[in-house]
Amino acid sequence: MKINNFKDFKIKSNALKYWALLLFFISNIYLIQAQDSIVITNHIFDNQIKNQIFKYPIAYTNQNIKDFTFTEVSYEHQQNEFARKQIANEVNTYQFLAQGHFTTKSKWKLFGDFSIRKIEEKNVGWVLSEDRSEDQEVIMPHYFFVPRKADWQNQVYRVSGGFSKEITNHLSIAFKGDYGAEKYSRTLDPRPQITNRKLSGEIQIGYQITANQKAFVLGNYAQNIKDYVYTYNNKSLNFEAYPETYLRFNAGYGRILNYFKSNQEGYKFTYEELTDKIGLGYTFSNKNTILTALYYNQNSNTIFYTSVFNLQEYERMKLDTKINHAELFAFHKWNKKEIKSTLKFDKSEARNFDVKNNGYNYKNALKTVNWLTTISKKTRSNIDYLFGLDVIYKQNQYNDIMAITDIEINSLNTGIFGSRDFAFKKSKLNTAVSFNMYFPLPSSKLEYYDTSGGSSATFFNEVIINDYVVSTTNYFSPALRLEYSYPVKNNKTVVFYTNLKEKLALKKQNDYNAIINTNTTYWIQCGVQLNY
Amino acid sequence: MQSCSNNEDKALKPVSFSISVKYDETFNNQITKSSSVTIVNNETGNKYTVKSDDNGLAQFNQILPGTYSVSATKIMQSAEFSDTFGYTPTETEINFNGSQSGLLVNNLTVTVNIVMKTSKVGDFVIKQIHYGGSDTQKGASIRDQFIEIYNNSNTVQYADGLYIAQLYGSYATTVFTYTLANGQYDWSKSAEMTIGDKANTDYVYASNIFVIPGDGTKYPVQPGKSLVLAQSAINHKSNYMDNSGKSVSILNPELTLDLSNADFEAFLGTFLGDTYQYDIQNPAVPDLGIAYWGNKNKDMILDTNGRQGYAIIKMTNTDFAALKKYKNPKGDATLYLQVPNSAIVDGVDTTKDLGAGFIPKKLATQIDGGTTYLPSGFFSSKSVIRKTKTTIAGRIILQDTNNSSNDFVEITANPRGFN
Repeated sequence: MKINNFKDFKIKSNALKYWALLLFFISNIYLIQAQDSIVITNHIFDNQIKNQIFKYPIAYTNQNIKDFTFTEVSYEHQQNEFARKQIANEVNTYQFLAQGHFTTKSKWKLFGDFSIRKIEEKNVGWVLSEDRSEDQEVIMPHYFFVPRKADWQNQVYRVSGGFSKEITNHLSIAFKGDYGAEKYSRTLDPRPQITNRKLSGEIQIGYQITANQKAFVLGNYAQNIKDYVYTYNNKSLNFEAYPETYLRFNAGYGRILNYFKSNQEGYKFTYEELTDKIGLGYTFSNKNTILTALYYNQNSNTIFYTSVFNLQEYERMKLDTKINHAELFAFHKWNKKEIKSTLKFDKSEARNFDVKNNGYNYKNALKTVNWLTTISKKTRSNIDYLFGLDVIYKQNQYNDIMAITDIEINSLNTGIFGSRDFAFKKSKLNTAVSFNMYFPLPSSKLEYYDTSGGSSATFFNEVIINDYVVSTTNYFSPALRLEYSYPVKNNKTVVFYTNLKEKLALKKQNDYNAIINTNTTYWIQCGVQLNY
Repeated sequence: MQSCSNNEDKALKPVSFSISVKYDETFNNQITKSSSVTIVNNETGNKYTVKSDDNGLAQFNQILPGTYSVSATKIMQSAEFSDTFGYTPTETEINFNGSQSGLLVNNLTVTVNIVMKTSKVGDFVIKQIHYGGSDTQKGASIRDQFIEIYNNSNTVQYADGLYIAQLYGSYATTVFTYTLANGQYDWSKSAEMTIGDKANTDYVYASNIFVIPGDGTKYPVQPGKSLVLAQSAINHKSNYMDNSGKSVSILNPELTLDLSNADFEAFLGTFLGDTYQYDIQNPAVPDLGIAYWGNKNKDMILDTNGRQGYAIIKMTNTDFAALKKYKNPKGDATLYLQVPNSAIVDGVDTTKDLGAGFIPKKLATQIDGGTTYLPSGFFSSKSVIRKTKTTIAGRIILQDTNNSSNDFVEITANPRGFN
C-alpha cells in the first residue's frame, strides 16, 4: 500500500488549513475526563451512536462522552462484476481519516473529522459526471456521457467540525461546519475535469424542558459549486460518426440529447446546488437511556448553467429535490449489555425542470425505511457478543417523462450480523460477520415508450435494461471483518483491520432476456488505525 | 425564455401539432398535397418525417417539446404540375422547398405554416464539397480541400465566368439584438443597409468569390461531367516542398487525395502579393480568378466545421461589379459582398451538426431547403456529395431537389466520384 501517493494531490483546498486550526484549538485546551456515560469505540457497530453524536450534537450536550481520536490509513480494492453500468469495473481507494470528540473543562464539546481520499477508477463508461450508480439505482439527470470506458483519477478532501455547549440551564447550542473539495478527471477522450467546492453550516438550538427532556430545532444551509470543463485531445472524436466518443447530455433518464453548447468560449459549464434544511427533535436521556426523535425537511436546487457564470439567463436545467426525514434512535444499557436501535424513514421527491421548454421532464419518488438494531454485551472494552439486524425497505419510482421510461423498483434488503472479541494477554482480535440478502419485490416494473423517432435507443438497451435487471436480481452478500488491536504507550491502541465482502448474484426476478454479468463482485479493505 | 415558477410543477408532454404546407403567391397560395415534411430536433437530432395530406397538413404526433428545424420538399412531375396549376411547365420535374428554423414546439404549438417556393433547377450544380480536410498529422489537413461542380443537364454547358462563392453568416443559433430569431444575422441592421428585410430574404453575403476564367466558350463541360476546383492542385499523397522550402511529409497517403489533375486551383499569391506557405502553384492547372476577397485568408480555405455556405453564381461582369459590400450587423471590420438570390444557380448550406453545433441557414428556402454536414466531422477525409438519382444512356443525373438535407450524403472524398 503506497500511502505516499497522497502527496500527488493537486486540489487547491483550504481544508488542511481549517483542520490545522481545529487541531491547534483542541490541543491548547485542557481536556477533562468526567464520569463517562457514553464510550465510543472504533468498532464499526459503534458508528450508530457516533453518527448520532456528530449529526445531532445538540442532543448530547449534557452527556458525558469519553474523548476519542481515531486516525487511520486504509486501502480498498473493489472489483465490480455483478453491477450496474455507470460504475467502474475496478476501484482502488487510498484513504486517510481522522476523527475525534473532546470535552473541555468548561464543557465545550468539540468534534470533527478530516479525510483525504484518492480514488482510482478503471473502465467507467456511460457517465462523465462524478455520479456513480453504485448506491443509486438511477443516477440523477444533468450529466454528460459517452459509452466509451476510461479510467478516472479522483481526489476528495473533506473537513468538518463543530462544537456544542449548554449556554444556560435550559438553553444549549451546537454548530457544525463542513467543507469539501473534490476533483475528478478522466484520462481518455472526452476528458472532463470536475471540481466541486462544498460548504455547509448547521446550527442546532436546544431547550431543556426537564432534567431528562430536551426539545431542539436545527437549520442548515449548504452550497455546492461545480465547475465542469471537458476537453478532447483528439477533437475529431466528438462527431456523431463516432458514437463511442460523441458527447451527449442527459437531461432526464434515458433521453439522449446532444450536448448543450457553452455560452462562453470553450466547453465550460457550472452547476450550483443550494440546500436548506430545517428540523426539530426531542430527546430523552438519563444515565442509562437515550431516546431521540427528530424530523427534518430538506430542499435542494441544482441549477445547470450553460456558462461559467451562474446568471439567470444561462439557466438551462433545474433539479429540485425535497426530502422529508424522520428518525428515531434509542440507546439503553443495563448491567454490561447495550441495545442500540435506529429507525429511519426518508421520503424524497425530485423533479428536473427544463427551463427552455418550460416544464419538468423527469421525476423520481424514493421512499426508504431503515431499521438497524444491535444488542451487545461488553466486559470493560471487550465485546462478549454482539448481534444485529439491518432491514432496508425501498419503494422507488423513476419517471422520464419524455423518453418515456417508467421504472419502479421495490426491494427489501435484510442483514444479520454478529461480532465477538477474542482477548489475548495484551491484545485482542475482533471478528465480525454479516450476511445480507437483497430481494427485489414483484411489484417492480420497467416500461418504455420510444419517442426518439427511432434514432437512438442505445442508452435504453445498454444502460437502462441492464441496470433494471441488476436491480431486480436477488443477491447474497456475506462480509467478514477482522480487527487486531494492540495497546501501545500512553493509552494508545494500534489497530490492524481488514474487511472482505462479496456480492453474489442469485435469481433473476424479471422477464428481460438481457444478459448481465453475474460474476461475483467483491471488496477488500485493509487499514491501520491509531486510537486513543 | 426564462422559467415561470408556476410551471415548475408542470410536466412536459409529447406534443401533437400540424404543419400546413402551401405554395407561395406565385401559385396562388394553393395547398401542397403529398409533400415530404421533416422536422429535426436541434438538441436531440431526432428526425420525424410526415407526408402532407389532401388538405396540405402534415400531422405530427407525440413529438418531444423543443426547438426544431423544419424542411418540406415537393417533387412534382410535369403532369402533376399541369393538373395542379393548369399550365405546362418547361421542365420535366419541378422542385418546391420550404423551411423554417428555430420552431419552438410546446403545448402552445398548434399549426405551423410553411410556404413552398421553387426556383429553376440549375444546369450546373454543386456536386461535392470537401471542406473537412484530412488528418492534420497524417494527412494533408486543410490543403486537400476542393469543390466540385457538375453539369446535371443534358446539354453542354460552358463554365466560363461562373462565380463560386463561399457564403458567410452567423456561426451560432444564439440570439442577439443584431440577429434574427434563428440566430442568423439580421443584415437589415448592417451599417448603410437601406433595403430593410429584403437584405435578409433576397440576398446572401459572400466572404470570398472565385470566378472561372474564359471568354464564354473556353471551358465546355459535357453532360454528366464535372470541374474540380482545388485549393492546391497537387498530389497530396506525395511528399513535397512547400513555398518556404520546408519538406511536407505525408505519413498516411490513404487519408488524402491526388488533386494534381484538378481542373482549376485557387492561387492567391499573385492577388495578395504574398504567397502562403502551402499555396503551391501547379503550372499545369489553370488558376481560378479572384472576383472578391473579403476576409484575410491566404488561400481557398473552406471552414472545416461546416459553418459556410456555397453557391454557384451566374451574372455579367458589369452586374457583378455593381454589387455592394457590407459589414455584418455586429459591426466587425470585414466587408461581405451582397449577392442577389436571383443570380444563384445552385447553393448548399452546411452546418457542423444538427444539434449543439447547428449553423443557421444562409440560403433562401427555394435555393436550399435544408442543410448538409459531415457526421464524421472535420479532418476525417470525408466530403459531402450529391446523391445519384438515376442514369440515362450512361449519363448520371444527380438528385437536385434544392434541399441539401435530402440531396447530399457523406462519402470518403473522391473527386469526380459518385456515391
